[in-house]
Amino acid sequence: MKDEKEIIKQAKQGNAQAFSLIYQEYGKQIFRFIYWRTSDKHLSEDILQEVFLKAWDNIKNYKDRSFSIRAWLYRIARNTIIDYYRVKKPTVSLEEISFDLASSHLEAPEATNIKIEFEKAKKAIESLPEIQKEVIVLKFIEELSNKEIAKIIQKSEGAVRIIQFRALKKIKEIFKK
Amino acid sequence: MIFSKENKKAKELDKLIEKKQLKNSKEFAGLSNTLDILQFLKEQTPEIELKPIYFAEKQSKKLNLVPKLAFSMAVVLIVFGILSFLPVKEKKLSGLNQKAIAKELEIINQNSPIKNLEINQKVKRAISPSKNLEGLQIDAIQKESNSLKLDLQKKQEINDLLNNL
Repeated sequence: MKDEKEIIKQAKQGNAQAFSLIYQEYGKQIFRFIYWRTSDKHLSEDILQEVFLKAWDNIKNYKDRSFSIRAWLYRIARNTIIDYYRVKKPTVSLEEISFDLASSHLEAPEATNIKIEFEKAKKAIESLPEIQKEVIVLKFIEELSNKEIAKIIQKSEGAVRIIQFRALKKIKEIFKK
Repeated sequence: MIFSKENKKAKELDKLIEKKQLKNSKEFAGLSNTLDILQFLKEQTPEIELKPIYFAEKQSKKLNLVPKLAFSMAVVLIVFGILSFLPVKEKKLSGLNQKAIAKELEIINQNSPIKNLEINQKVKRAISPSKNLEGLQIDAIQKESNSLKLDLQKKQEINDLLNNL
């Protein structure tokens, strides 16, 4: 995004067009994060809209000194998902995420091996406690830094490292089985 | 102790992940492929076309400032207006303040011309007895002398009668 600081400044002053650019830039990333928590495409789209409307209402309170706009949006998404599941219990299943052999462009034996690993990885992530799952998705799928993750989940960087360590240890155990 | 060991291991693991050298880890070397698969999972997330969201244009802060100021000024004026009509209740003074004020009043009264006047009047009264009292005394004396005069007259009348006999 060209000159993100200027766009954020304009959005903070109430410029809807500037905020639309932020939506265009981060919308898909935030959708993916929501989807990994809900595993429901339509629900994720609804939550995404809610997240950006909330962000638009509160953009004037955003302080770029403390953390990036991306991490700020992830935090709003996280809180919106928590609010949603406070009423309704989560029934997360990553069934919809499937490995498409045909589109993988891999040789048959290699593709089969990857498919097995893929299914295992999916199950391993599904079985993790919420906070560990959140950290793994933010770190390895969304590729966020420990600092950003710490801001999003409102914990210290040290705590993020420990959560990551425990999650990977658990995934390793699942893979051993 | 256990926590510090875990913390140390977590730090080491994080460094290896950052440097993409997980294969060098004794404990987590096997996870290297798994992390690659997680990257692969990212690509498998369903793609969406972002639905347009209508973000209503907001007025800038500068434009909002004037009506806000006018409104707050109006509120202040109304409050002052209402307060000016309300009877002012006397505040109860604390014991200490009351004593201090009483002392202050005593000093003022001692030096005040009113107080001096009162003293002067009291002195005057003390020096000159009341006119009423004086009057009463005169009346009594007059009555006494009158009765004495009457007695003298009667004595003389008796003497005259005796002489005539």
